[in-house]
Amino acid sequence: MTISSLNRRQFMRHSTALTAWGLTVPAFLKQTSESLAASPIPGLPDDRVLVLVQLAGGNDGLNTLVPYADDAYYRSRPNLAIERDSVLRIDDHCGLHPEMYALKDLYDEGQLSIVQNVGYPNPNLSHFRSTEIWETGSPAEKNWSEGWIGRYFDHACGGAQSPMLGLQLGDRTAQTFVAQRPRCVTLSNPELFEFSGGERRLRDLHAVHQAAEETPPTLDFLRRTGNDVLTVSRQIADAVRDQKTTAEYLPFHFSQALQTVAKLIAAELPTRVYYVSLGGFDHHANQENSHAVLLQELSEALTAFVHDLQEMGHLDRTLVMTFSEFGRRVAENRSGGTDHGTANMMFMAGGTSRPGLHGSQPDLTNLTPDGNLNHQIDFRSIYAAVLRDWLSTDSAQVLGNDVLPWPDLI
Amino acid sequence: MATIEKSTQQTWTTQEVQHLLGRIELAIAPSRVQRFTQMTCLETVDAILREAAEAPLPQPPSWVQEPWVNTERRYADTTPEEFRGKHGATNRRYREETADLRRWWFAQMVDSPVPLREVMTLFWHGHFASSIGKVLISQAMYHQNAKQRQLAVGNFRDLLREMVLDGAMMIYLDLEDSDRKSPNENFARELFELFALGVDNYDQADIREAARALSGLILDAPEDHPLPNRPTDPTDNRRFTRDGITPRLDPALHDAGSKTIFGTQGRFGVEEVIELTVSQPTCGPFLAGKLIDYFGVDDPQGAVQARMADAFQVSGFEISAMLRVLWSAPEFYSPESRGKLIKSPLALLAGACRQLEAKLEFTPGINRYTTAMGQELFNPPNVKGWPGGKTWIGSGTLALRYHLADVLLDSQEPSGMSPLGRDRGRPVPVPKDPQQRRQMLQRMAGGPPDGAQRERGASKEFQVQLSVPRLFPEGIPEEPEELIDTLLQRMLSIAPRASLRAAALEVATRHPGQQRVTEVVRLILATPDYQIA
Repeated sequence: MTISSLNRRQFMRHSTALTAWGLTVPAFLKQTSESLAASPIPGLPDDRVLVLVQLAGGNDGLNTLVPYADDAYYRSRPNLAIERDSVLRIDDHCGLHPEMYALKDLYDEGQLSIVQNVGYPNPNLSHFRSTEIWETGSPAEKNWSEGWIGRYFDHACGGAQSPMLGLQLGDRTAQTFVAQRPRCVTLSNPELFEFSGGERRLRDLHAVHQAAEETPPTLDFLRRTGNDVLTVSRQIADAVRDQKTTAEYLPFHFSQALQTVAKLIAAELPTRVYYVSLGGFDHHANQENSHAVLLQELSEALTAFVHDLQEMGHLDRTLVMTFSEFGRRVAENRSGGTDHGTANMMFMAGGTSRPGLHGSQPDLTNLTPDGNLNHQIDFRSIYAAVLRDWLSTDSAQVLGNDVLPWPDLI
Repeated sequence: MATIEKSTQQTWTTQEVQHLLGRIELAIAPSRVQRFTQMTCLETVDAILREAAEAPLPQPPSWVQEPWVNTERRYADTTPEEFRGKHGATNRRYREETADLRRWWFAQMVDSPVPLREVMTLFWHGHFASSIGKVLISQAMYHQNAKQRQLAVGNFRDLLREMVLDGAMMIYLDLEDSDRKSPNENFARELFELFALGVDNYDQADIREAARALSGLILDAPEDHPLPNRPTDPTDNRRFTRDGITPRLDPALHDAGSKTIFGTQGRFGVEEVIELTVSQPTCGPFLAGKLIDYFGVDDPQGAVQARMADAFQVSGFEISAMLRVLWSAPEFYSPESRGKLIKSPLALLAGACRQLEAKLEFTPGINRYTTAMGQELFNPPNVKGWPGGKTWIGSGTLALRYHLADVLLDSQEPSGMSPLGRDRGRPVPVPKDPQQRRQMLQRMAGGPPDGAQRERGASKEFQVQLSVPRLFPEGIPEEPEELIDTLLQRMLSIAPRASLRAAALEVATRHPGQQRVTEVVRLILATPDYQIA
């Protein structure tokens, strides 16, 4: 495992600079900088990172990982099926969408795992509700409000001081991070932590956050969080400015977000879980081109991200996983699109994920009454594997005793 | 009970008046402070509640039309092309109307002469939560909001009935079309757990039986309203077959048999379920507890809660009776309750506009801002609404709150909200061939600016009018000390810390004239102190 001591040195230099302004460094800041010197994520047993990639809107798994040897697929999708000859074959049954050539290379390099046939019992076909189920890890018939990563932070990361254990690039905090003690930072853009008015303004901000007098508990909590803002702002600004990445990313939102995540990981921010979204998968009509474009962006961005981290020596501490609230109906609809479905596939790369195909092929002939797939793997058992085998925690604490980690995945 | 009300005190302090107004009226209006310091606490509370109950209701947004018409019905002979057109146009209209509904409500929050009613409407929006994300129909969300406003300080039994028989709620919690053959328990569970009684104050059998009693509700056109005589496919998505959003009982779907709920037996329907629910002894304490939290009151012994529950019971389930007890309780004014409430993002923004008399149009950009701070109107995170309190605050959301001055003083998009990359535009894949790819990307880079190239602040979505002379009609105080004390008193609900006052004074002495005012305001807006009420 490569550990870049340079970044820690950089941080120490900056925290010295803080003192050089002639201000009292709050105790909290000092503590953070000292523990940062010891490990990227102080208070956690290792420096592993999880990157969650949400494919919002319900990705059509059957046109992503195409069962080109299955006649039922071609019968169900006379217009939308991917032609046999153009599928990027990965075995004699299935292969990737033709626009995912970058990801196919990654697969051939032995760097990609694909989990097929993932879903949950009593599937809900509402985007809103099914997203809730995936984000909280709750059974379909329960309404949980805390996210699965939020619960992991609450249960297993009590000793971690970082105010940004979770970091999301987006404009609305994912329910995945909702916790009793929120420790997720959501930002559309790292400029979130830039304040107009230069050094003088920063000095004013520091001045109103000093622990100069006794204050009531709520005000004290806010003042401490305000100090976190000032700490985080330095760390993120430095990482984004100083960290160079090597891979080429497309200029679009999602690709740029993953590049930013790569920089933040390489800069060893005290962040355990990152979250990025690629939206637009709800293709009820005219699916062909828009889906191809999204799959291409996913493919290019993931591949660039994996190669980038590999180049910078951070891939072995980073696991990336995609998910989507549901797959699409097996049969195409009359508008050149697909309607909401159930079971789906997930991509995984990096860390100790085991490359190759996991899970059984979806059975396109044995469908639910409304024409949807019956899942094989409960997504919660994938979460459980991530929690136990990657984040080294007791998954039962987060997901309950009845969810068993899916074996041989990570 | 009289001995524990503040009414027994002949006078109350200006600070106490400010504390009350900061919490229940979004901002501390100097004229209101002046008026209420002349009255007792209880007289004040009664006056404010009366105003909220009696003030005329706002006119609905212009696009609300009664009865609502489903513009995306799919008939047997609707062609796919025709359907796509209707569906797309309807979706666009819903999006625009939802944006306008937010604009409309925010204008009420800032301009209403009875801000309390909006504060309570916001409470009920989180309590009886429904999301446009699932409901999809903008007008259904308006109906729900209008009922929550109409009964904001009214009778809880009436409000509960309105919320059960509410189109948006029926869609959100799958009560629509609940069939006696397999009654949907989702609604019954949330009715007990989240709307009226609290977890563990019912058992599974009560849920099952209540679900039977609530079966048979459908959404339909209003009675006597002519319907198109064209068949729709009964298996099609409800969204494309609904004739209206008016609740009606379909006897064929309703389970008319005997049920046992909370130990009482009868052939119960909707009315009886509501009556049985509000009559449960746990209903009052449950609602009282939620109001105590919403208004940030420290009640460690549960004494205020018990008194509120009593008042609820005695008054026949009046919400105003509970609020009267809460706001006149000594506990409301205790040192532990002062500065305990963390403002919601909407209260923060609307309050700032009220305090600074700023004119702000609630554009989609402003909506993105409150969403990023954790609160999007008509889209609560889930059926439990917004948990509030400390969950509003993380380092990301606090940083966003600290950028409030970007909006209010500079008419700029708050720092950190621009997208990182550009929009792709038309769905054309990037060529695989390296040279062609380079050419395409270069073409895009030279194209019209968007995404990362957009100038922050260039957007019309963040145009705010703030007038320093209007803030000080009698002129800006000459002395920096006088100015900062006036602003601190006007903007903060609690007495300013010495270090904050010192920092404000330093800023004031650095700047002359109107800039002195805006820079001190800028400082105050980005303090921990400004987040609380």
